[in-house]
Parts: sequence; structure tokens; C-alpha cells
Amino acid sequence: MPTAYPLPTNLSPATVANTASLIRIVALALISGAAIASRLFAVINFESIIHEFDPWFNYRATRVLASKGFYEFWNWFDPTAWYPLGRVVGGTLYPGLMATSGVIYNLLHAINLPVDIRNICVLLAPGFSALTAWATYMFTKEMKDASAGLLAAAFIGIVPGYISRSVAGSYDNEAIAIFLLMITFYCWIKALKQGSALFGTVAAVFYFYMVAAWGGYAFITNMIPLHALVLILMGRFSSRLYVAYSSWYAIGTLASMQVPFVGFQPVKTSEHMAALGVFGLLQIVAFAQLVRSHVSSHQFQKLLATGVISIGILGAMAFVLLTYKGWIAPWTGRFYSLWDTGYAKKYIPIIASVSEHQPTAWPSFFMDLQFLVFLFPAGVILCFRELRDEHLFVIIYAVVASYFAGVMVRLMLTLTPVVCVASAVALSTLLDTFVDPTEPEVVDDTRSESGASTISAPGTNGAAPSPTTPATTSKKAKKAAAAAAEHPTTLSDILASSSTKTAKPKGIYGLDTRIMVVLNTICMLAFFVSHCTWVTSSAYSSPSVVLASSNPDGSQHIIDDFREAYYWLRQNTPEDAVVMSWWDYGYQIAGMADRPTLVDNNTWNNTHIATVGKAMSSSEEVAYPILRKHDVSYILVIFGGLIGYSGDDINKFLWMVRIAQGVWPDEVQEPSFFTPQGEYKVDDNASPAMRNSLMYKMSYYRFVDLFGGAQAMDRVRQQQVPKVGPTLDYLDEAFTSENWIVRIYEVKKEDSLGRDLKSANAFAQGKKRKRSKPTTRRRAIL
Amino acid sequence: MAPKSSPPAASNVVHSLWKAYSDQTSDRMKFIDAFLVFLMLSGVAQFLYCVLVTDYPFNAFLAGFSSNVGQFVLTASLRSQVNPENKNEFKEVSPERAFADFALGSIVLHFFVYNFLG
Amino acid sequence: MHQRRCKVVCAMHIHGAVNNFLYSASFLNPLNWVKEKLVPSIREKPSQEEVEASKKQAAKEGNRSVFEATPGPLVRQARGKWGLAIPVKKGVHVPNKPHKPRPTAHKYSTANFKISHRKLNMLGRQIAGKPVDYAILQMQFSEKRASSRIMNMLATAKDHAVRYKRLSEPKLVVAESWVSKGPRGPKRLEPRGRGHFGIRTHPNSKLTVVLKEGKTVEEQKKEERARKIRKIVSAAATREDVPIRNPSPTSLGAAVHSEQLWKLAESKFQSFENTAIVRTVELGGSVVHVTTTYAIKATQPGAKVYTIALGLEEKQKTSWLEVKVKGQQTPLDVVHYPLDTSRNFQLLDVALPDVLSLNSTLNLVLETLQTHATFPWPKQASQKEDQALKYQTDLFVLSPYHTGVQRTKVKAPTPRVISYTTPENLQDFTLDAPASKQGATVTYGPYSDIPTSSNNKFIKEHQQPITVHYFHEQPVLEISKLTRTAEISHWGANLNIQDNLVLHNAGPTLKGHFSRLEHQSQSYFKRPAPHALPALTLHLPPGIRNTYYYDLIGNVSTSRLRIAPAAPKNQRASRYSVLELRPRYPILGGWNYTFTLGWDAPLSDSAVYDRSTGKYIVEVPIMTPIPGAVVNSAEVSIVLPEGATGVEFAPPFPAVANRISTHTTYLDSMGRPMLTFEYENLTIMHAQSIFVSYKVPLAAHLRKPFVVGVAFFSVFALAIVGRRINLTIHQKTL
Repeated sequence: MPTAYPLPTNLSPATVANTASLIRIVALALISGAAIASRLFAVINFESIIHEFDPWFNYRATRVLASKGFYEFWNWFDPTAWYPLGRVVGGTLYPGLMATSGVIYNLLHAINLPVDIRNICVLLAPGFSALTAWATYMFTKEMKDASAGLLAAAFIGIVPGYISRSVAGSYDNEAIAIFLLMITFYCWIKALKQGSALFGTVAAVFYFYMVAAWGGYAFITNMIPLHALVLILMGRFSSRLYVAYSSWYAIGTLASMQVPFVGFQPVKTSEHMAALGVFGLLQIVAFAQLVRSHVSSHQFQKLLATGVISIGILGAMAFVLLTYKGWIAPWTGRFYSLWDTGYAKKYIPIIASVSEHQPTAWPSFFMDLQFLVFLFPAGVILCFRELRDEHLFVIIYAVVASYFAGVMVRLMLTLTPVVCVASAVALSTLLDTFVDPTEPEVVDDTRSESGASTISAPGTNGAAPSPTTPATTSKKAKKAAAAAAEHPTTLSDILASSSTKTAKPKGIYGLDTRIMVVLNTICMLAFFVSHCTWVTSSAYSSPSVVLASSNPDGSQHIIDDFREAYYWLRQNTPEDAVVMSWWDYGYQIAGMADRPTLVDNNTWNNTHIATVGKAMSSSEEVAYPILRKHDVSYILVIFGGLIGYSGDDINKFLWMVRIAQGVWPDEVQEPSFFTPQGEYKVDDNASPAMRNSLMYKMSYYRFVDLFGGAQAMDRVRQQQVPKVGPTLDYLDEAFTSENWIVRIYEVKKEDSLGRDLKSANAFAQGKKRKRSKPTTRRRAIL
Repeated sequence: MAPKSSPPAASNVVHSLWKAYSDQTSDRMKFIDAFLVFLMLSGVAQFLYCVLVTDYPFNAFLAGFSSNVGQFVLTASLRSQVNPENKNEFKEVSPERAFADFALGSIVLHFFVYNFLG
Repeated sequence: MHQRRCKVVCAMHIHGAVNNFLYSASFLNPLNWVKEKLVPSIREKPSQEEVEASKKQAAKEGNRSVFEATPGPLVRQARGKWGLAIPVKKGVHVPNKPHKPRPTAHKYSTANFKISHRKLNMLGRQIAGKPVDYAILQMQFSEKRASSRIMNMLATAKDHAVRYKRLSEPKLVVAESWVSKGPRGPKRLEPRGRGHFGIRTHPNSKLTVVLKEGKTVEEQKKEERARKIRKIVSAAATREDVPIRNPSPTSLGAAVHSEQLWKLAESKFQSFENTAIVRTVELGGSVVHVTTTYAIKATQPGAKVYTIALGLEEKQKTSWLEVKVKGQQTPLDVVHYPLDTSRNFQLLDVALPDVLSLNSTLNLVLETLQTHATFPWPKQASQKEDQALKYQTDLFVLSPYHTGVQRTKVKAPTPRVISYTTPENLQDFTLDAPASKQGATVTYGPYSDIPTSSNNKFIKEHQQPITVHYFHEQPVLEISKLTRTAEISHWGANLNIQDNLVLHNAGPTLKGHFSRLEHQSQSYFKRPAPHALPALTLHLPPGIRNTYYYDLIGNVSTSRLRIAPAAPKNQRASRYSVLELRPRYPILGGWNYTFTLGWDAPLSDSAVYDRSTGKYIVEVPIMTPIPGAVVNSAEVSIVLPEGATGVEFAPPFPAVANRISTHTTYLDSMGRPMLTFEYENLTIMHAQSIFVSYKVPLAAHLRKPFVVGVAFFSVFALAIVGRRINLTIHQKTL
């Protein structure tokens, strides 16, 4: 048999196998190293710090867990959150993340390694990313083979779409959830292939872990039943499917109900009903199979007809009845917003106001996946080529996940693994077509030459499928035999026919085409790596707590206003001083300033948030009673106008207004905050409602004086602030951070002489005005 | 024509089915099936109790019922795995291995059940 | 100061044998240490040479002052070929058998030049007793007119001492220096106003120095160290909860039954009289520096114990106290009397350096630092206002002896003194104004002929409080709590020091609220608020590594550090690493800020290995001096390496409490002994070092690697066994 390049012949198969496995292990180790290392940009560029918003809560909860122990944590009631109400933390979170790092913490301390809990939390995500790479490797190995698995592991290790949620310091549920997702799917596939209850059980256990870790477990809950259903409908029911699914479902569902936050949802809410239905269906089908194996087909027809019809009717009626009686909750809002992107904007502004719930923009696909975007469909098509059960799974997963990723930015995360798997399959098929040394012995001159040339050309521009087609067909001849053996179903003869149709052996001649294609592929991979590194270092590894700018000399300059203000709160205000801010900053205030907050980032109480929104968006006189009623003593606003920090409260202001309007439609109207021309302005022709609103006043209080007579400019809005700044009668400026990003105001107590604060202020100022300075508006000294 | 001929047809279908079952199946299978039937009955009983009387300790009910169901499906899968007819489906699952799986699955299941009883 | 010839003699010793310590890091690195232990080679002799070598090395590397009159090579040339350098008869200078005894001193002086002896004398006092290099350095930077001339003279003197007298040049000290008046030129008339005239004299004078081989500063430090180590008292049983007995001189004195002391005191009281007492109070923020000079005269022969009295609340405020003979460096031993509340004053006994004969006089200087002696008044100040403090003290300096004349000077940091009390009914001590202010100084007295005042009668009749109200420009800093942990690691040859500080601005609390606008404009116009602390500059030891500075929510990115290189052996650390420490927010009056500051220092800088006793001796500083701040309470913990035995320690001054406990950290199997000392009211004067000495047997050094290795291998073994078991199970199931 001719080969394109000489092969060493004197190798015993054992040696080859051993070297292969050794190389595989080494490669996996390197991949894990790369995955971890590329996530440490955040620590190197900044410091070992918790990022963003939610991680601060997880971190706080973990500290409680580490210090007080698990039972304290389990029934932890936090009176400082949602100030008057408080929050039952133990029952309203997914404890998986905290439990994980708590276990690691205790483990390390058991062997006298006093590692700070913060560092554990910071480095948890990178560590699990390595595990994710491993899980993806196993998964893909089930799909194709080990080489594809290695490729997939490498992809998932450094693909930005996953790094964006798992850089060091982003201590969030997703950090471990993706690993659990992949490992659960792997176990499911394994169980399905072998039909072993063991893997079903393992899958169920990991599913339990997933449920405890992330709200996105519903994805698995619907993904696996969907797969099973499709298999049944394709007439691919087998006892293996029965074993795998029912062992997974029976144990997994029961286990998932142990998590207090999930509770009885698996049997009561509609999201979980699909799984239950498929379970029931599976039982029936299995029973039918059993019966069929015993009776003649004609009788079986009858039985089947009566049985299926009656049971179908019964099931439907039961479902409708239950939903009607309210035993099964109808679909929740977040669920609707998945199907109708406009839904959230209309009905749940809070969900819509979160930036990561917006539909995905096209560039972000390329930014997160780069050339995997092109390889992805190729891989899916390859899965169609030989359609085993697990390939079906990948296909379904691909379709569903890509839809969801289009709907919400944050669901990009669930798409990324399947993209990596599929494109790894495609790329490895391409490679081992072109690296495979065997040349077809049939020397048919022009066709395959031209074919080869057409192959080699488009290898670069990402049209990967075209070169792979002949490859897979040639492989399919081999595979078909195997497949025919293991599928006695109708699939096999389809394959057989197709393989006979293209029985003529195909392949690549010569070295040149091989080298060209392989070189192109290597270039693509190199670009991919550089792209990933660049994106990670530039876009994804800044802890939005600390901002970085650069000095004129190019050195890094840290803007640390948030922590400055939070630490001031922590050190110089009474322990029980309630701080009001927009809910984005609730977790950070609780974590860093350690003060009670009105609202925070788990937005379970819309009315409470709306109250804050109303207080922010209405005038002082209206807001003051609200503040006093919730005995707020400090208000914290974020103002980027001085240095141009665009994520500040004035830009979020419209959402506050909308949310408040949702609850008090007659007191807060969104249109009144626009100029008559319908623009959103803060300058001279801003609407009166805008200029009287608490938020506006607090943001621009004494902002003009800073410019000392010159025209004050808001660097974010690029608008000129009115010459006469707002005055405050009911609030005192308590603290302002170095770059004016964070401004904290103290709510005045009622006047000691019983006057209303406005007149008291006027009186005090009147006295001031007689003395020298007329310009500075000094606050009343009560 | 279905309504007219259905009662006798159904009856003799069931008869033939029962006959086929009783002489085709080995005793071990029958034993397992007996267990399955028992589980089904107890499950039905619990469900009726829940629906008719009360579902007050709901988690207790769920624990009992789902332990029934779980045990049922595990046993059923054990049955299908040791069934000599579909040997070729379960290549790497020998009967012993199947029983080991069954045992493990049951242990995990009942661990959760116990935890869930409250 | 008008005596004809004022002479300053400094304690001068012939340089003794080299110490028996080996200042080499290699001993602190256990690997070399183990090697050394295992291979018992002759180490003594080389070590001697090592010391010499390292000294020469240091000298060559120019760590010696730049103003070296004779650079290294020249010296060696002079040493080597003396024949060429000095044309004298051969054989005379053969080093090993000289005819006349080898000269030990070199005297040299300037010519008479036109300067007042009083002006010149200041320089004389300045350089007396200093190593000659240091003296030259001083002269280089002195602002006095004569300094350059003195510097040249010193350089020449040193050169000559090395060349002619062959004195060893790194050991040269200015043993004596005095000024003598020269011939005065013709007087001149100086016309004054209103037909008056004055007479101008044109004095000449010269400065003479005597250079001898004295102690260099390193040797002084070394001896200090040796003395302290000699004083080490064993640290009882290494049990927790039992405090260690470490009786210090003062507490010993207190322990002695009080009554005899009182008897003694009564009997001694007559044997002195104070010709004059001058008390100088230098006002500051939270620390006030009080210097009291007693000019005493013995009224009985053989008097050798002088007694000092302190008012009660003055005693309570005083956090640091030292008595010296004027112009000398070594402090005298002080014994505190038992404090009893019936008498509202406290007596201290000072042991004089030598017995005074009848009518001989002596000048004693009592230096004290008072903490929490001032308080802000008004108690609140807005961001724009000034900060004013009040200081209160007693009018009279109490003394058990009759006092000839006494005066109190209160020096405010600036001339802006708001008010000061004028004491009443002092007619029997003084006739003119009891208090006067000029510039920044408020002077009380002179009050003459004061009877024995350390008795309740006098205090009731005459003692009265005086208050000075003054402006203060710097913020008043307090460290309410300092927790220092020093961890000694021999494997890393590293001394890790970590401080947790709670910083508090004790100035007037902020009235109203903080306005960033005000603050920015103030700093823009360079008029910062006197009570706002934007940043803090700390002096850390040189040669420190990876310094970290963070607080509860991550590290503070705004601080800067300039690291000085580590000082080479046998050279004093002349430079500091400067940490410019900027809190997250400016600390205004009444605000707090907590932070953690830590660093690694090479262990060789602060530890020695005494191979004669096989002990390590480690020097751990108690605190990082923060200028003008007081540390209310400090807790210093020293973590010794695992398995350290025979722990002994010598604190520079007695601690409030101390104990030994066990501290378990990185991969320890049995934990490390941890010494903990608690202090109160530390000031910059207390920034001294605790000396700890201990043995670490070889086994203890090797314990950790052994344990870790065992752990690893057991894990591997478990894994192997696990695999086997798994396989068997598979066999069974399959």
C-alpha cells in the first residue's frame, strides 16, 4: 500500500499505544496549564481581587461558610440586605459554589496551609476551567476520538467565550457550572452508549451538583429529555436508552429536590414537566416493547392503538388539570423572555435592564469564538454524516444553544462548549484526512487531482466542510462496517447503501496538498491563539471594581474610587447606617463597606427596587419621607461625569424611572424626563423633572464649582452642565471620592427646631450671606 | 368494528400475552417481575393516599413515592440488562456488572430518599 | 561656657579582639549550616580573616565615606613600601620589633584663624567622639563657616596619623577636640547711635584634635548587643498561659520592699542642692518632648545617688524617660520608687557615674517624652479652620532638694501661641513678670530660692497648673493598635514582618462634612488643612523584598516604595527604604483607617549565629518609627522556627505582659514557639529591638522536608494500592 511519506515500520503496536497515551496525558496537562495561565491576566495586571458584582456576594457568603461552618451558613438569615425585610440567604441561593470553596478551604487548613479564603475564591474559576478542559476531552472522545478530544480541550481551554466568565476573580456560579454541564453530558452519553445504570447514577449525582451550583441546570433538565424524545421519535428506542434515562431521571430529580432553593419545583413547575413526560413515555414504550416481544404483531397493533391513545388523552388531561388547579406553576417570566425577546422590556424591566440579558450582537460571536464560528457548522454536518445517538445529542445541543445564545448574551456561555466540540470534530477530521499517509491505490488521474486541488485551495478561508467531504466518505467505508455491526436498525442499511454508492476509494495524492492544507490549518490555529490571548488580556480581565487608565508616560494608573468610598463607609460611619444605592451596588456595599443596603443584586422584590427608583427619580420633598421611612442615613451615587466613566447612574437613570413607573404609573412618568424634543439631556434644556430629581441633584451637586467659573463639561454625556448647579436642602454631601466617581450623601435628620429643612436651610444661608461669601452655598450646620 | 370485536379480541390478546409470558420467561425474570409489580402496587397506593386523603408532609410523600419509582426503574433496567434476549445491546454490561450497578444506584437513591424524608 | 579651655573627652578604649560571632549569612541558611555541621573543617581561622577581609572589602567598595583623604590603594602603598613613603632610617620601622612604644594617638590642630572660640567650639563639640570619617562627613555638610577648614584639618590629621604614626585607619576616632583662644587683634571702635560707641574685638582661635584608635560605630553597636545578650534572663518553661519571668532592672527596683527605700530617701535628701533647674518643653502633636537640666551641687561628701521628683499626672503621661550626665551618651541607671497615692508625686533614684565630693557640681539631663499630653481645643474644626491644641503642665519642677533658681521654657512649634496662663501669687519666688513670651517660646521664671518641693505641703501651697494654647500645623496621629508579627524562617533565610495598624487622627474632629471640592482646592493652592493627613512617609529597613500594603478589601494601589540596598556586613545601615504610604482617603480629624503593612527582610541582616554556644541571635525591631505619632497599645509577636529550643530574649525595656505560645502554620507538624510582648504608649524613642536567642537542632531543620516527603509518598502508595484494589474488583464484577 503506497504512503505519501515514509513511516517507521519497526515499532511494536504496544510502543505506539504507550507513546500515544503518554503524549495524550502530557498534552492534557499542558492544556490545563494554558487554561489556568491565560486566566491569570486579571491577577497580574491588577491584583488578586473579586470582580464585578455578584461574586462579591458569593465571596461574602463563602466567608460566612468558612468562618461559621456549614449549618450556620445553611440557615443564615441576613438582616442587612433588603434593609427592612432582610433575606433568608441559606434558602435563596445555589450553595454549590460556596460549598466547593469551603471544602477546599477546610482541606488546606487541615494540612496546615493557611491560605486566605479570598485567594481560594479568586483562583477557583481557573482551576475548574482546567477540569472543564478535561471533561470536554472525554466528551469529544465519545464523539470521535482522542485527537478530536484533545483539540476540543485546547479550544475550550482558551476560547474567550468561556474565559469571559471564568477569569481569576470572577467568582460566580458559571465558574464551576460549565464543568458540571460537560461532565454530566459526558456521563449521559456514556450511560446511553453502554446502557449502564452506573453511569446514569453518576450523571444524576453530577446533575445534583449542577442543580446546587447554577440556575442554568434547567438547560440539562430539558436537554436530555429532548434528546431522549428525539431518539424515540426516530424509532431508535433501545433498552440502553431506557436504562440510562430512567436511572438518571429517577435519582437526579429526587436529588435536585434536596437543594432548598429548588425545593419542589421539579414536580411543580412547567420547566421540569418535559422531563417527567418523557420519563412516563419511556416507561410506556418500554412496556410496549416488552409486550411486543411476547405477542404477535397484529395483536400488538390493537394493544398499542388503545393503550397509546388512552394514555395520551389521560396524560394531557392530567397536565391541563394540574396547571389549572395551580399545582403546576405556569412558565415564569425569565422563561418567556427566552422565546419573546421583547417580552422582558414590556413586562419585567428589571430583567431587561441587565446588560447581559440583551440579545447578542453579531461581533460578539466572532469576538468570543473567532474561527470556531466557521468550523462549528462543519462539525455539525459531520455529525450528520454518521448519525449515532451521541451525534444526535450534539446536533440538538448545537441548535438549541445557538438559538439561546442569540437571545441572551450570557447564554453565549452554554453555546461555547458545543462549538468547541463540533469544530474540534471538524478540524480533526480535516487533519487526519490530510495527515493520513495512505494513498488510494486506484490511480484515476484527473478527477481526484482536481478534487485535491479544489480541496487545498479553500482550506484557508474557513470553508472547512468542502475539503472534508471526500475524507469522511472515504472514512465512512470503514466506519460503515463497524456501524452496520452495532446498529441492527434501519440506519445501517442507509449507511450501507450510501457507502456502496460512493464505494470508489478516495484520498489525497502527494505531499504538497497535504502540506498546504496543514500549514493553513496551523496558521488558523496560531491566529486563534493570539486572538484569544489578546481578547482575554484586553477585554475580559478587568475587575470592574478597579479601573485602569494610563499615565502620560504609559505606566498604568489605577482609579480606585469605588474601594476608596466603600472603605470610607466601612471605617467612618456607624455600624447600622443604612446605605441606599441603585441595586447594582448592593452586593459591593455589603461586601466591601459592610453596611446594610436597601436593595441588592438578587432582585427578588420588584416593589422595593421600584421604591428606590422612585426616591431617586422624584424631587427632594417627595423623596425625603421615603428615605426617612426606610431610615436611610446615606445615599450613594455613581457619577462618571468628571473622568468620563460611562457606566454611571445618570446613564442607568432611565431604567430606574421605568421600574418605578411600573409600580407607580401616576407618580413617575418616563416621558417627563425627556426634553420636548424627546432627547435625554442633562444640560440647560433638561426637563424640569430631570433637574429636580434626586439623582440629578446628587450627581451634579457643586460639580460646576470645580471648574471655577469655566464652562463645566460632563465628559460622559458630552454636554455642558448648567452654570448654576443644583442645591440640596434635605441632604448633606458626606464624602466624594478622588475622581468624583462615588458620591455619598447623608440624609439630614428632621430640624431640631421643628422647621422644615428647606426654610431652616434658607435661614442658615441668609445668615451666611450677610457675612462675606455670597457664592459658596455652605450647607446648614445643624 | 373496533367496539364490537374489542372485548373478546382484547381478552384473548391478554390471554395469549399471559400464556406467552408465562412459558417464555425464565423464573429469575418472573421473580424480578413480581418485585416490579409489588413496587407498582405500593406506588399506586401511596399516590391514591396522597390524592384522596392528604399530601400534608409533601416531601415525605415525594420521598416514598419517588423511592418506589426509582426502585422500580432501577429494577426494570436490571431486568432488561440481565435479559438474555438483548444481550447484544449491552455488550460491556455483564449480569454481575449489572447487579453491581443496580446495587450502587439503589444505595445512592435511598441515601437521597433518607435525606429527603426530613 | 566662658571657661578658657573647654575639653571634651570621650570614652576611649583600645580596640579589643574581634568578636566571636560570625557575621555571615551562610550560617543562617540551613543547607550550608547542615553542610558545615556535617563537615567539621577548621573554620575558626578563616573566619577571623573573613572578618578582616570583609572589612577591607567594605572599605574598598566605597561604602566608606567619599571624602576619604587617602584612597584605599594609597594607604596600602604607604603600608607596603613604607621605605619610599617615609624617608627615615631603615630598621626603625620594622613592624615586629619597634624601639620606642608604638604611638597610640595623633594630635593635630589648625593654625589660629579669625573666628570666635564660641563659634568654633560648637564644631568641636560636634566632632568630639565621632569616628574620623563620620566627623569629616559632618564637617562636609555643616553650615558653619569654619567647617570646611576643620574638615581639611581632619583629613590631613587622619592622613598623617595613618602615614607617620601608622594607626589603623578604619578605627580612627576623634578622641578629644578642644578650642583654644589665640592672640586677639587690636580692638576697634564701633560707632553706635546717640554718640554711644561699642568696642569690637577680633578674636582668633584654633581647634585641636587628638585622633586615637577608638571604637568604630559597628563595634559600639556590637558591644551594646553583647551587653544586652549578657543581660538575657532565661524564659521559664515554654508553657502557654504562664507568663515568662523576665525581671527588668526597674521592675526589680519596684519589687524591693518600699519602706527601706523611703527611709534611704529621707536620709539622702539633704545631700544635694540644685543650683539651677531648666526645663524645656517642646510642644508637638501627640508627643511632647520635655528636657530638664539639673545643675546639682553635693552638700555632703560621698554623694552618689541623686533623687528626681515627678508630679503625679506628669508621671502618668510620661512614656519614656532617660537620665544622662550632660554631654555624655551613656544613660544612667534609674530606680523607680513604689508609687503610692498618698503622695501625689513620684521619686526616681539616679545612680551617678562617680561619687561626688563636697561642693563638686554635675549637670544631669532628664529627658522625658509625654504622650496624650495635649488635646485639641476647640474640639471640632471644619475643613477650612486651623487646628489648635492645649498643653497643660505644672508650674514648678518638683525636687526633694533646695533649688537655687528654676525656669521653664515652653516652645511651641510656631510663634502662633494663642494664649498662656500667667501664674498668680509668686511674690516670694520672683518679683518681675512670672511669665513672658517671645517668639514661639513662653518662659516661666526664673523663680529663685525654692525650698524642698517634693512634699504635699509645697504642692498644696504653690504648685499650680499652667496651660499653653497654640496652633499646630501637622495632623495629630495616634496608632490605636499595632499588631506586629515577625516570622523567622531559616529555610528561606528570611525574616517576615507584618504590621496591622489602626490609624486614628486625634486632632479636632471634622465639623460638618468632608467636601472633596474644598480638599482639592486646598491641595491645589498648596494650603492643605492642618488636620488632614493625605499621606504618611515611613522608613523601612534597607534591602527589604516584596513589600505589601493592603487593607480589608484588597491592596492599596496608591502607595510608593523606594528600596535602599541592604547594608554590607560590618557597615551601619546608613540608608532606609522609604515607603510613601497613601491611604485610600485623606484622614481628617476623628477619622480612622486600618491597614496591613508587611515585608520580607534577609535574615542575615538581623541575625547572627554564635557558634561557640550554637545559638542563633535574632534582632527584631519593636515598631517602625512613625514620626510624631504615639502607639497606644502594641502587641509584638515573634514566631521562631519550628523546633526551636532554649528560647531566651532581651527586650530593650520591660513589656506590660509577655508570654510564649505555639503557632502552627505552613505544613508544620508540631507548631512553632511564638513570643508575644505587649506594650503601651510607644513613641519614636521606643523604636528599639528585641533580641531573641534560641537553638535549632539539625533534626528540627530536617523535620519539615521529612514530613512532607512522607506525606507525598504515602499518597502515592495509597494511589498504587487503590489501583490494585480497583482492578481486583473489576475482575470480580466482570
